[in-house]
Amino acid sequence: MHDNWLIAVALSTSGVGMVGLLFAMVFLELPENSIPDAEASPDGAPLRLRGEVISTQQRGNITTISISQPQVIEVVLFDANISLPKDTCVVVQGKRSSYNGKPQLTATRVRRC
Amino acid sequence: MLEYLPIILAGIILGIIAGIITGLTPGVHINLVSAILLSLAPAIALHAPLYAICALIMAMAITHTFIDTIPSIFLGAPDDDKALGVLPGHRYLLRGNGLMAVKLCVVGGIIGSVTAAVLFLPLQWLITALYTYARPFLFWVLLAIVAFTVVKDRKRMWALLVFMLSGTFGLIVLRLPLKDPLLPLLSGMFGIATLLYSINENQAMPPQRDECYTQLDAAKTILGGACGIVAGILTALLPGISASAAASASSQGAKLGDHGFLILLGALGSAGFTLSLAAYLGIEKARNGAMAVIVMLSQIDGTMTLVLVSVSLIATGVATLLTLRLGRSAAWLLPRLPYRQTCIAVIAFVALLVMLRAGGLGLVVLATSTTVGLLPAALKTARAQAMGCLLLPTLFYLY
Repeated sequence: MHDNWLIAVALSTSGVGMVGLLFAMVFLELPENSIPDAEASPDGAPLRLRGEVISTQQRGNITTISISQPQVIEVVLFDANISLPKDTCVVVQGKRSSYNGKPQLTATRVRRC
Repeated sequence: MLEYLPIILAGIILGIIAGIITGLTPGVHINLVSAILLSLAPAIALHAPLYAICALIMAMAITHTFIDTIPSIFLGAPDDDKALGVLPGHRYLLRGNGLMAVKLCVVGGIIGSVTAAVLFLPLQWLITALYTYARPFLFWVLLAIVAFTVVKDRKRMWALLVFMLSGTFGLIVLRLPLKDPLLPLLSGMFGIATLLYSINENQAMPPQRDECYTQLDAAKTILGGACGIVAGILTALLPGISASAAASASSQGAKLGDHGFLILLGALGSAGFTLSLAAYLGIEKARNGAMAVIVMLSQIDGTMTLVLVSVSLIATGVATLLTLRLGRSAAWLLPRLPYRQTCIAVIAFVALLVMLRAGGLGLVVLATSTTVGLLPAALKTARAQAMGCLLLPTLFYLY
């Protein structure tokens, strides 16, 4: 086997790996966390939570959504105006933060399940 | 989720760099680096998702299995999983074909990694089924294999003596309060014993051929790759079996020769880690320290599995190119160094490493295992009988 073949096989293998990774990144979603996970994580940790909406509050340009798994955590969205009916299943993605010593999630994305 | 792609790619690059360092430094194991990463996880989580660390560990593990063939073959200073590759690798080296031995391990590594990725789901089912149904019979299969190996040796009594002696020694060492018992056991038995034999025989490292092709025997390549996958399944199934023991067990009876055995070791290294992921998904047991850290840092669902298998393939390609480059550099540099002094320096380095990792007791084990490792050459029996140091404890474990 010529080295060029070995190099071609190596590059093809990496190429297939890249395609698999891109597929996973574009079409699939990474694992979800539980609210106890979120509470145990340090501020700034990226999180993805699934839960049911308990309430939505709008204060200026800040939207606060309480979600339950059944444990409850507050999800904060800046510069967003979202209203979600109670019991709507949502998946939120963002980073853990704290407000008045309580854990919350500063979301960058919210979507219905 | 595409926004996390750069951070995962950064994790892969860092993992490959870490794999180069751990691969080139005998005794620095990926489990050690994984444990450090686990302790740093809360701090890293402030800046990056934890699954980026999982990608880092996967890339590091795969790169490590490719790169560590270089010190194993050129210096006779192996990591645990390549300890048995010292002997065939050394024979290639003394014929000026050290680079070819590295390439055979690389070919095996690609075969193992690609096979484990492509057949991930069937192998996961196989591991689950074997764990459920076949485990009680493994002892008898392995016992038959060992008996066959001893009987086929031309000096059966000496072969049995070496097997039992090394096996008894292995049983003792694995029960000693040593942090890393395999390091002195295998380094002495297969590494230092080989180097001392070379010094005694006034061997010298001949100029290494830098040929741009690898002579592949198709049958031995396929058989070696298949044995490597079987060995990978064994390590994924049984917590008590080390990579070297699995390699030894799976190759007994198969006429692999040095060529096929080097392919086997390469395939085992790369497939073993991917298969430990399959084992975790199938039987919920993490079979090595690095995989245990991965499952602590992230839930392993379908997406994460696809991410990790993809990372293993990316790392396989990059590690292949790196191993060819670094192997070529080693093949150019090492014959220019005085062989005897290089061997002595390597022995001193391994002894220092053992001292640091396993203390004075480790040095005693190293000296004893070196003595046992010299016996096959003195008694003119096959050196493979010294694999008893791993196979006898495995038999006891299975019994």
